Amino acid sequence: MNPRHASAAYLSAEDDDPHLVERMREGDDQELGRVYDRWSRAVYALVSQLLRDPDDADDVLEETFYQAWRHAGRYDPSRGAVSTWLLTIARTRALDRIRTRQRLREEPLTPGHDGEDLAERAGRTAVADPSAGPEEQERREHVLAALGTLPPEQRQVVELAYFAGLTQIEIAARTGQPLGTVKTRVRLAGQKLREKLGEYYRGREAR
Amino acid sequence: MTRPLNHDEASEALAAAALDALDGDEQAAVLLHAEACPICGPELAALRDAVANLAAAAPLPEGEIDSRLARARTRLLARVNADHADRPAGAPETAPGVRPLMIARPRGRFSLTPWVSLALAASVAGVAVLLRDRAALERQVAAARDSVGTLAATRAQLAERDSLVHRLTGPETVVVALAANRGPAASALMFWDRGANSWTMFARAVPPPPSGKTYQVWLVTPTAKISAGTFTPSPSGDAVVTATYPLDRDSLRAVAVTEEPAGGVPQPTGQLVMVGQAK
Repeated sequence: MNPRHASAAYLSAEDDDPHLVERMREGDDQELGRVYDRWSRAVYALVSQLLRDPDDADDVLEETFYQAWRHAGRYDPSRGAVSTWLLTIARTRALDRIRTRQRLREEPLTPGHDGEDLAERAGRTAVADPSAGPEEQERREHVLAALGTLPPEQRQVVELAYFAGLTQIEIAARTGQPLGTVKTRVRLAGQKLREKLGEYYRGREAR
Repeated sequence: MTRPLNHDEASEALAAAALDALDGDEQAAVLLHAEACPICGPELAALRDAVANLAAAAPLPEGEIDSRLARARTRLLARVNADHADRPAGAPETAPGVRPLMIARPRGRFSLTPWVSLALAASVAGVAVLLRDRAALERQVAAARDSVGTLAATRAQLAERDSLVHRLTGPETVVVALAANRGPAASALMFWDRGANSWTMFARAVPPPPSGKTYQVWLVTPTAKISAGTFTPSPSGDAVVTATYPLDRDSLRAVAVTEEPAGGVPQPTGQLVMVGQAK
């Protein structure tokens, strides 16, 4: 498939997301299936990364879309894309589960976050996942490229916050850096990611 | 209680808020500011979109991903269909095209042969085993019912929590901060969900009312002062007041708390304890 065509199709598909959610809100189960087919891989990748347990990841995946279906009326397009909404639900559910697990088993809050470079691991798996569509590959490459532009210390705080669910205070304790330094790194990293990923999506819209 | 942040403080923390990397109070304070700030609100939304894209960097785990996704899809749609059907609990479910199992009544005359007698004797022994198994199954069913009850209660709690979060953070929610009329101690935040006509007030550091008195909450409009209920704070000075009352979107001028006779009064008569102007 021509990647350009794939991107255009992907973009139009994303544009259609709010309409799918609107119809889902009216109780149309078929639209739930379409939203699931479009975003389940991204949600599953995220919760698998956070939970490191396939059965827990299965549960949170199902729970995420069930919650989205139940509360479709709460989706507000002015607050972000449908994918943002779904991934936020998924991440919140996964972190809740990690915290429950932590309480039950006294596990650390960073399950399996072994410090392996995420970009390196993601790149390796992308090659090993031929079923990922060209759109997913393209998006992943751009996000990894954006992460790659961050200095290592900024990338580290972003990964510890997003993929391990740590607060700035916890990151400071874990890395041994002053809290003020962590705050500055988070702020600078956020600005850069917004700029880089914003450029990418603006570029796609211009195609 | 959340300390309100000024614009510069909130602006500095937006990226961390988008990553959920703030402690609870600070996160709530940043979200409250962004809700009302025309600069920070869109900036936070854009940062959240950018942050959500990080999920694309998460590698899919190795293994049978497609089959896992397909199984989860099947479970999800079955669950949604079950919700739709809204069947009474425990009602039988028959898939389309599947006929219930029928046991045919024997027709015509028949006689018990020795083989049949032997089979019956074996059946008696089998029935004893089945009865024992049935008792075990009944215990399992009872345990499962208990689990279902617990699950239903947990779901109800989660639904209530989701509802509260929506009332406090929904797009239609307006927040009024109340400060003590005299002295620095008491304060409160009133969340008005204009879509649901619901009012939720959290108060803190409120001293106990004098004997025979209570606190009463008032919604102040240009033409009326409407009671939103009475409350007595906990020993630690905290209180939560909820009410449902429809009000025109632009008519709220202030929210006030007065000290009134126990049981409340139709119109405020007592001392003003806290007040907050609606923006």
